[in-house]
Formats: sequence, C-alpha cells, structure tokens
Amino acid sequence: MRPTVGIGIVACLGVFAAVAASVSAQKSPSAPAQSTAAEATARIAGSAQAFLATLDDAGRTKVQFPFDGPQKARWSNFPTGIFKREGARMGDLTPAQRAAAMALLATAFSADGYRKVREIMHGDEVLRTGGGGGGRVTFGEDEYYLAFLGAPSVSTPWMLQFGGHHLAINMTLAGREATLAPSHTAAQPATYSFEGRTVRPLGDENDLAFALMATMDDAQRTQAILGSTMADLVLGPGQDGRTIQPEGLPASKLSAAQQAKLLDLVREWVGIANDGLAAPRMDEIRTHLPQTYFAWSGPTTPGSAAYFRIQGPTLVIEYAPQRGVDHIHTMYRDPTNDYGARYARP
Amino acid sequence: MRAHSGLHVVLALAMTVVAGTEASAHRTEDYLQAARIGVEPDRIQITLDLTPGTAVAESFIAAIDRDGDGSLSAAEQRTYARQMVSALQVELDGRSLHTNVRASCFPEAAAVRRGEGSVRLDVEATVPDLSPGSHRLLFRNAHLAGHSAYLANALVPESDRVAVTAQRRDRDQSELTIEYTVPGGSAAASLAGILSRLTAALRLP
Repeated sequence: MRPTVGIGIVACLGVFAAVAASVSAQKSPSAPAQSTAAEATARIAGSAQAFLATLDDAGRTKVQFPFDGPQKARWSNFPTGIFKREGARMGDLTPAQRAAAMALLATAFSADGYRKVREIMHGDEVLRTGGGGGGRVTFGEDEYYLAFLGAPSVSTPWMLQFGGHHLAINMTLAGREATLAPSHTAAQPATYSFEGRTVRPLGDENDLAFALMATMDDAQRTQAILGSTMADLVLGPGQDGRTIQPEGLPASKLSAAQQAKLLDLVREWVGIANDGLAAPRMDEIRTHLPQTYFAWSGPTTPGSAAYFRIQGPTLVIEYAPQRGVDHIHTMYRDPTNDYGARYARP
Repeated sequence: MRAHSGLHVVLALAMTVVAGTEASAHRTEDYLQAARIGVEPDRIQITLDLTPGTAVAESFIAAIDRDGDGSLSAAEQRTYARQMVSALQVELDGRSLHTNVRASCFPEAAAVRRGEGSVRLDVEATVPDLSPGSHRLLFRNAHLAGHSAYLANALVPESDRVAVTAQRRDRDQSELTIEYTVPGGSAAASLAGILSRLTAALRLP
C-alpha cells in the first residue's frame, strides 16, 4: 500500500493534528461533557478520511466495503491462520499509514479504550515473541486489520471495524448515534510484563466484578450464582441475532452503591468508545437498570476463574475465562442494535 | 448414556495422541456442544452448534467421512445428524417428544482442521395442544459424554404467549430444564377449542 509522497505528507500532518486534538480532548476534565456524540462522530470521520488519504487506490479498495454486506459479520476471536480477515493489515502498512490507523483508533476510542486495545494487541505480540504460533497460526501486532463499511460520514451510517486475534471492535456511527455492538475483547496472556510494569488488559473487568460480588449478601449471591459451569461465551462470534433468557440477580435487588459498581463494570465495555459516544449509551443502560440481570458462575474468591454475564433489554456482556485465569474471552452485544440495526439506512 | 460408541472411541484415542500439541490455547481437545432452545406455543426449536477442538478434528472428520474420500457428503452428514440427535432426550411435562432435524450446516473439513468449523443442526419438536398453565421442558444431551463441554440456554420466546420462568441445569450443562407458562386463552378461544375437539370426536366411526 504505497501512497504518493504528497498525499502521504499531507495525511501525516492531518493525522498528527487529529491525534493531538483527540488526546487533548480526552485529557481535559471538562472535555467529555462538552463533547457531543455528533462532534465525536465528526472527529472520527475526519480521522478516518485522513487515514484513507494515506492509501493509494488499491489500498482504499482493500479497506472499504459496502455497509450492508458479509464483511459486517466477518470477525472472530481466532488468530490469523485459523480465521481469514479482510481489510488493511497493520503489518502491510507503511509507518505513516500505520500511524494514521492508530491515530484513528485513538480518536474513535477513549483513552482507556485505546489503552485496552493496545494492550490486547501487545499481548498477542508477547505470544508471538514467546514462541507461540507456528505452523499456520500467526500471532503478533502486525496481524490486526482495519476496515470501513460504508463511507466515513458525519451523518450516514458507517462502520469502523478493527480486529485480530482476541479483538473485534465493530463501531457503527450514525451522526449523533453510535454503538460498539457487537464487540469482542479477550486476552492471552491475561497478565504480562512490559517495560517493567505488569499489564492486565482486562484486569479492571475482572477486579470490578469480584469487587461487586464481595459486596453481596448471601441472598443476593444465591440468586446471582448459576449452579453450572460455563465452558465458553454463550453469544460469542457467530451468534448474531439471538437473545437468551436473562438469568441471575435483578439489578433492582442491588443497593444504590452496588448498582453504581455494576455500571462501573458495564463502562469497561461501553467506555471503549470515545467519551462523547459512550455517555449517551451509558444513560440508556442506566435507564434499563431495573430490567438488568447479573449472573455469575464459579468461585467468588479474587484470583479465581469465574464467568459473569450482565444482561438487560439493550445489553449483553459476557466474561468467560478459558480454563483458567490467563486466557479470557468477553463479548459485548446490544440485542436491539447490533451493527447499528436501529439506525436508518441511507 | 447413548453416545455413538465408534466416534467416542476414535475421539478418545485422538486425544491421547494429539492433545497438547496445538500452539494456540483455544479449545483443542474437547467438543463444544452449545444448545439454544426456543420454546414456542406449538413447537420446541433447538439450535445446536457443535465445535470439535483442533486436537480431535481429524478423528471427528474421519468418523463422519465414512468412505474416506476427504469430503463430508450429504448422506454422511445426514447419518451424523441422526446419530447426534438420537443422543438427545427432549421431554415435555414428562412425555418424550419426537425430534426432527429441520436443517443442518456442515463446515468444510479444512475449517474443522483449522478449529473454526462448527456443525449447526436445527432440530424441532412439535408440541401438541398445549394447555394453559405451567410446563416443564427437559433437554438432555448425551452425545460424546465425557469428551464434551456443553452449553444450554433458553432463548427469549418469539411468541408473547409463552413466558420462561426458570432454567435449571446440571453441573456441566448437558441437561437443562426450562420451566415456562402459557397463559389462559380467551373465552372465545376456549370455546373454539372445545367445538374443534367435539367436531373431531363426532367424525370418529
């Protein structure tokens, strides 16, 4: 994907401006409140266009797909070699193009969301450098793909799709509305060392859930805990369009403090999105809290491997350890709005 | 336990030889059988997603590909589907229901070898003349017991005439009991039902 030099320079300048604007906006305490969803969408569309400007015609063809087509559901938890993705492969981009792609992600995601995505990718690099893969399976930060479904727009629905092993972010934007559903985050290793610090890409999800369980009395736990093992995600990749019967403890039986903890836990997924997009979504989930359930399977001692699910009228979150604490799969869905199903089509 | 013994043995042997050789730590040595069950007024719909791990992929393919030609023919697929469904027990209020495979989708053998191949079976049981009130559906899956991981979940019913009230599973989810209610019909509907049954009775010789 070799661009012309001129376009590359212009695009790089645009990228750096976009990154600066994004980081500045997200670090300012007052910025999230001022940032409306429409403004966030405009910034993301601008950043997407800046990335596209770094590509030549062939590159643009490779990264753009129809909004309503098979690419929408072409995502997986599996690594390259097991699952074939389409779009712009990070490892095939020039440094400038790759910087533009990452700048787009930094604009689309919150600071915490961007960190989470980077840590998941870096975890895959740890797998690669640790001798993982081999044969047909390939791990590493190069094996992540970026795609657009529909043209980046400030009003018409379009989708930013970014994913690879253990990651599938499907962000549909439609002016003032946006959704991350369905998206998949995962981690293996779930804990690793990088530059002298311990990294846990999904550590907050784990810790907040155990902290919530620790606040529950016996009656609440009895209702929340399912009496069976959960071998995997119920609504993982390939399970679009299904709604399972809610189970567990209704949030209406939680105290106000516990409800706040539950919402903090939900924010770990919703808050991957840019703050301006996440805020209205959190409002919607908060509105449905009385009809939301929390279910748990496994030990309640921190450090254990335990599955949990949060399910409401517009929300399904699953957290599923894979035979231990060092390999986690999670899923985020909206049964009413996966892939922006609610948004009007052009 | 009514697991198909041939496939059972083959999978067990394969696990002894192959388990632990896969570089990726995704599900490898067991067979994930996920059941999603829709309870409707006139039928039970069961969708089964059956995913063999990579370590048992070759033996799984070999067990289905009986003529060994490397592809899973329609006849071989039907045979496997029948075997799988024969290991299911579906009971409504204590009475066994007859199940039919409505549709099936088999992956390419190569996809199974890659670890991303799932067999999907759509199974249906017709529910005869369900009376208003509480009902209990039992689903039990004995296919390849001992070598499988199970998931079993009730779906939100499509019909607002049915409300799921409880789900109970055994430890490994090979068994799921769904309790649900069917509300009482209107007086007119009840009268229509009575007249229908009366008319049918009068037709008897």
